[in-house]
Amino acid sequence: MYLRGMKRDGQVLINENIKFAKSVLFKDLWAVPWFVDGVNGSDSSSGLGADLSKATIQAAISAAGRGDVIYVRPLAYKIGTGFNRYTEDITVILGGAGGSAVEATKSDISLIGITESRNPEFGPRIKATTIGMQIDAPAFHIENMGFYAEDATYAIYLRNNGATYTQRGSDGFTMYNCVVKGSGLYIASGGDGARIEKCRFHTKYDGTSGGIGAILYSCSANPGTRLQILNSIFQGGNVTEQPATAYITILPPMTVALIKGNTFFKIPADAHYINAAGASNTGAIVDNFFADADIVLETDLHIGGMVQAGNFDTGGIVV
Amino acid sequence: MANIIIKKPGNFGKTRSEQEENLRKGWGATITDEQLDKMKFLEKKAKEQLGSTHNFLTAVDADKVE
Repeated sequence: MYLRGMKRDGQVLINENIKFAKSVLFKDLWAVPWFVDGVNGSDSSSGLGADLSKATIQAAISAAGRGDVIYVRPLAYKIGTGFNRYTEDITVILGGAGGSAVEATKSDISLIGITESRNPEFGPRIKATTIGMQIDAPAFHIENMGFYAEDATYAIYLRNNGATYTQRGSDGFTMYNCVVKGSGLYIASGGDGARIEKCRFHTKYDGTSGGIGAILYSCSANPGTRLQILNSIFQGGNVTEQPATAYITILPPMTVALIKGNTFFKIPADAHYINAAGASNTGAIVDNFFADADIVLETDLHIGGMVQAGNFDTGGIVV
Repeated sequence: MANIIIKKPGNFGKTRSEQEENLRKGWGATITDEQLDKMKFLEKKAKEQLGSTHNFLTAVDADKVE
């Protein structure tokens, strides 16, 4: 079938009087790239090109479907506050009706920040009012994004509700080269295969973290498995290097988790670097560095049922 | 008269590396040059071994290439 129309900038403009089969109304045969530009975009635009950008990340996510990619342009840099932020509380719904064996039509969406330097400090940031991103869809991927959650409850909240089958935010979630400041990543409850890699987590300006630390993964209501936290940095706030609670807390049962290659900055005497207390937490804590002279297992590092090996502090290998 | 706009398939790039190169013409980069090279390598392998010409890789995939 051939359509007559005017071609311009890679798009075909067609007179509305032309009728065609529904099957021709494709956007793309494969993943669709969407574009967000908080300065020049408009949510009434299609979002399907750099010059047709949405203004908000939420608008692009609402429009996107399974496997799509959303590119986000950073806002202007302002002296004293850094890059302006997309002030949004974003929700990513499951997509579809939910239920066992029902397709989640919002799965596999990628949200990717653009930054010349590949330093997420200089890329697009989301400022959370209550929850920066609440994700129910499985296999959501975030790359090069900053999250500012100084006054929020969570920067990112992955929801999973087990056999109810309407929330799968932690299943296959991946997060790469992101910066999170303030109340961090909360995962509840359970799920399979979340992966956090090469990210940086800061506490709030005053060193507190809203009670959840950098990462709180709760498996109390539903079991979790195969969590990976790799090659990431955990730091304090602007005026103190101490978090108020553990950087990473895993409430059991979590099976075969891997916490590897991370750097943890100093904590106060009554806090933990990692709190994975509970025999039903299993997995490995390996090749991490802890910025303390001589950390003590079950005091600074609760490994629960996990094993630890190859971990160093400033005094040498952790035993 | 109102116009209906149909986006051509693959217009912005069928792979991450093609999309990356288009992004760099305007907005900026999302990965390093080294990661871009690695992605091209992976995409070439996918085309050779699977016949796949449309795919989307993440930076995590690129880092797996040594």
